[in-house]
Amino acid sequence: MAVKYHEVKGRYIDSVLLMQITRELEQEKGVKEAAVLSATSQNLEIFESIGFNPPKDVESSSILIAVNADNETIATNTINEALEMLDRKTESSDIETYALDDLGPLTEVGDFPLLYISTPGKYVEDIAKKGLDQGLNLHIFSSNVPIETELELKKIAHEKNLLVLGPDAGTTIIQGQGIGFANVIREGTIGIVGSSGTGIQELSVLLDKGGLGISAALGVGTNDFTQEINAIMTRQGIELLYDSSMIIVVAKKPNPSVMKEIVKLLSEKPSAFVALGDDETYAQGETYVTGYLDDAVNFALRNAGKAPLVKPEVKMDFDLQGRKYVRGMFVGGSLCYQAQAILKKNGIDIYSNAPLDEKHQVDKNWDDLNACIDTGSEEYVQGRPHPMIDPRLRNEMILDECKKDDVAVVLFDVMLGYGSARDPLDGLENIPEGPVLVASITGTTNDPQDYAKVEKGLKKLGVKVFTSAQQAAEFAAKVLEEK
Amino acid sequence: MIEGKLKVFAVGAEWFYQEMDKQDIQLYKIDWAPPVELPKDISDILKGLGKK
Repeated sequence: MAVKYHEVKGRYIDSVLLMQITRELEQEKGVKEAAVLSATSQNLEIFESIGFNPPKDVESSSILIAVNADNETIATNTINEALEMLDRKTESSDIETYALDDLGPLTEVGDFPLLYISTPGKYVEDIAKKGLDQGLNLHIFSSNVPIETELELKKIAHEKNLLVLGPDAGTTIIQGQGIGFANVIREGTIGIVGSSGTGIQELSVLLDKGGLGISAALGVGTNDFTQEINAIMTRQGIELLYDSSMIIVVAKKPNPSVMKEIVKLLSEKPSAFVALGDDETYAQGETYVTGYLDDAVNFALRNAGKAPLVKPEVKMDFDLQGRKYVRGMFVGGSLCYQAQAILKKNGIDIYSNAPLDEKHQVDKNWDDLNACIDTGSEEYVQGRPHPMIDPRLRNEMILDECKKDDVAVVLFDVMLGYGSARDPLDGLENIPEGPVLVASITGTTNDPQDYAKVEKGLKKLGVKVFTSAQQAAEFAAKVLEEK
Repeated sequence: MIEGKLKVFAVGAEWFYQEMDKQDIQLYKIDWAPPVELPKDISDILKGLGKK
């Protein structure tokens, strides 16, 4: 057995690429364990937790490669392989880079300049302020930015008539181009503003599936609908997209008084407001308020004189053999939340790590419970990429649920688009028979993944595939009625 | 409507830079690395000096 370390000084590469390299190294013959991470104090703890004892004098700005292999030669070769991968995976770093302090000369009158920030959250404030100072709009993908900082940034931006999308904003689509996690959606006249990344993806995809296009989709970040932020950027986004034929706003757990103000703001414009999972449906002026994404899309389709979303005919051709629980394994947090609401509405007592209410909180043990798990939440992404980028952990969890003899239905989402894994079914090949498998695909035929191939792959695995996440969750509830 | 041509300046994750680079986006990569973290004891001393 040989353990070797190698420090690459003064180089920053994000954790997603480093985890991909780690994964590839671990598949090398004779390699027991490998880790390639930036050597921050937090990451050094991760090295220790997996059995390495990293050198004490490593610099935090370095990348540390650690390998535990069968012998010295394999360990040395693996380190060399890692170094080659670092170069290969970051080929684009050979292109010209620009200094953050001096972006002014690169923008011209008539541009819509956007600074996309995906650094660790603790560095965002400084970068964001430099961007705003130079007249740039911001899309902040990073999470863990204090809400006081978010408020300050949004106030500064508002005064300058600039946008701050985020922090914790997964998705934005401008001029048909995807920023972050985004699908390839036809251009059109419907504007979307939302505080829910996968909610925006699902909405835009369903509009596309129904034959409508979008003028833009602006992800304003999870906190925009809190009382503290008071929807500063939702308001600004609505104003910016007001020329759209219709505006759809989507929010997860919006503060009620903030929501009321936004509904009022929208009410003179053909529009829909989706308060995810909320059972109340009503109209206020021109605004249709609902808790479900499909309902808002069907409202838009009806307004445009188009047919509602297609509901596939799926046979109830299964025998549950006494199985009784539903397990939802989601990569999309908003889709997980919506599924819980649908299951609850159908009389199912549903638990989650991201629950509808505190009483239904579970951590990592959901035996004897109905549960929907958001596998993109903090506890599942420590030291690994988000499951939309690397779906293997989530897919392993699906396999685990399928092996249990009391699980009646396994419900899951498949996210396509830029930012998402090219093979979302990676690891599902040997799915065991047992529960009814139910899934939706959030994707279009123009996404970089092959939609038809993914759909065919799911059907080959025996999965019942639905047009939308709402339809899939409704079908899961129907399956449980049969038990 | 959003007026003007979208121009994106990307700072941080290489993954998202590469994903945007595959689209028709006028894209610029911003040079960035996290600041060096000082060991906690040195950091505390410097913070202490700053207060004086």
